[in-house]
Amino acid sequence: MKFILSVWRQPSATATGRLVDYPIDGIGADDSFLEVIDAINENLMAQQQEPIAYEMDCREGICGSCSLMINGSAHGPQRATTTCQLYMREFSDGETITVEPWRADALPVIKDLIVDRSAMDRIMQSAGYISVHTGEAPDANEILVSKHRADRAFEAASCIGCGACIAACPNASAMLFVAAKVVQLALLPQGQPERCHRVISMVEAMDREGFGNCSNHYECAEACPKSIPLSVIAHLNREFLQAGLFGREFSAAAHRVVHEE
Amino acid sequence: MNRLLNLLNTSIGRKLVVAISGIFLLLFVIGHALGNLTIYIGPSALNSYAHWLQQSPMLWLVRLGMLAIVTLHLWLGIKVSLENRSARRIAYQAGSSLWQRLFEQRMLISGLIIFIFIVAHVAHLTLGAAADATFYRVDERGFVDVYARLVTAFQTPTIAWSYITAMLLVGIHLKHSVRALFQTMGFFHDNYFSLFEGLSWLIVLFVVIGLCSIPLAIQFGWLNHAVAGLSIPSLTGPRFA
Repeated sequence: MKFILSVWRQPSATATGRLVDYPIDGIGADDSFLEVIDAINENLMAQQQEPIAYEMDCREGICGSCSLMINGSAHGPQRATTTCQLYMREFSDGETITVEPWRADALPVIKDLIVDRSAMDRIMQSAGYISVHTGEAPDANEILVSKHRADRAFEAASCIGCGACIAACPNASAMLFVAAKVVQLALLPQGQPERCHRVISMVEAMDREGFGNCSNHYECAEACPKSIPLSVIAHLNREFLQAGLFGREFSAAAHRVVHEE
Repeated sequence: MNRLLNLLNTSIGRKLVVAISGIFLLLFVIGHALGNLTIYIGPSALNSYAHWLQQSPMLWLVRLGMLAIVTLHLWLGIKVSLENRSARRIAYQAGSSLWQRLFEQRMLISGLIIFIFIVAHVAHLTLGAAADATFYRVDERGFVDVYARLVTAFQTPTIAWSYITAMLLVGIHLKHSVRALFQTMGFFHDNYFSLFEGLSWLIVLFVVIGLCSIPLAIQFGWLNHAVAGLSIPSLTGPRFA
């Protein structure tokens, strides 16, 4: 198969970027999308040119590092699929495919197709954890969790933190990500001691990073490679309201960070 | 109190205020549509309903309350929309089409136009800006003749069609709101998706069809016959502006 990849090239965070066309031939239908970029990079390096910078980790659809906006869709046209699990049979022969990095002021471009997702890490650092003594693994069924609850927690916990929800949202809102991270712990017994603190701190952290507000466009769940349901956002709203009204005091009024260019 | 202010200052808190003020506005629109539909019972029914509203001791309380709610809803809506825009200042190259972008911005666009419509509508039919003698007509019981007021106003095609356009925008605004407010209030669940979808269509169709039908009926002359003895300015004199 033959393709033209129109790829966003940006030498550094501060440089201005542009789309550059790379024709490529001899691609198999069962080659993965990242393998096509690898092929282009090999050609570029053979010509002593700078290869395309992109995140290329696990290639098993579980690490969340591949993060490409392909023809305006996060992780490409196939639903519930990460870019690394996307195969060229999803495209038509001879197609021009536009490849861009995630776009959100909170996730600035570092180089070419790589964005800085530290904002998401800072949200996790604010309270996306449980404080427990580590050590030996506890006995199975020591703490009972109903099947239904475990399934819903697992559904939320399947978030790989890739940021597709943010990239797909017209408002660049991180609500689906934050909701998944809050809900996975709110549903389980281990998450209860820090439940109020967690939801308030994580929402405040999200606001500080300058993500947009959720206005219920539902693009996030469409784009999510792990099919995290929209209902986790409502669950987050519920958790937040409950904690805000009945939980601990707020740490501080949320101050939104306006990112300067 | 400080705690409540902090809660409302967060992104989710502000959306909650937009949602709660939206519930009041939604109930108001449904009530307004129900009241206006008394026009189909006849002039005396509509005029009695209007008289009941006008002599109510709650009238000014409701009016001022609605003014405050509209202001809050509009202010926070604009603020949230501006924040959303500044959250992605570099757009995608393979971005959405103009129609998709308009669709994404439909709440802000329809909201702003609806606000302008509300101001014009209050000036037009409540305050009587540019009104003629028909506006101040009273019926045989001494009630303000709202029926004659409406029939006269909607004889003018531009006025009738602007109202119909505004109501279609209200429909677009409400279609998104009904489901969204359940989500913001935290009620949303995948099992209820079709329930909320159905409910939002029900409300939208009732409000849009109900409110559009009045200017349409007057335009097509289905209600004119009932205005006995009324000299309609649009037919005999200078047009009602």
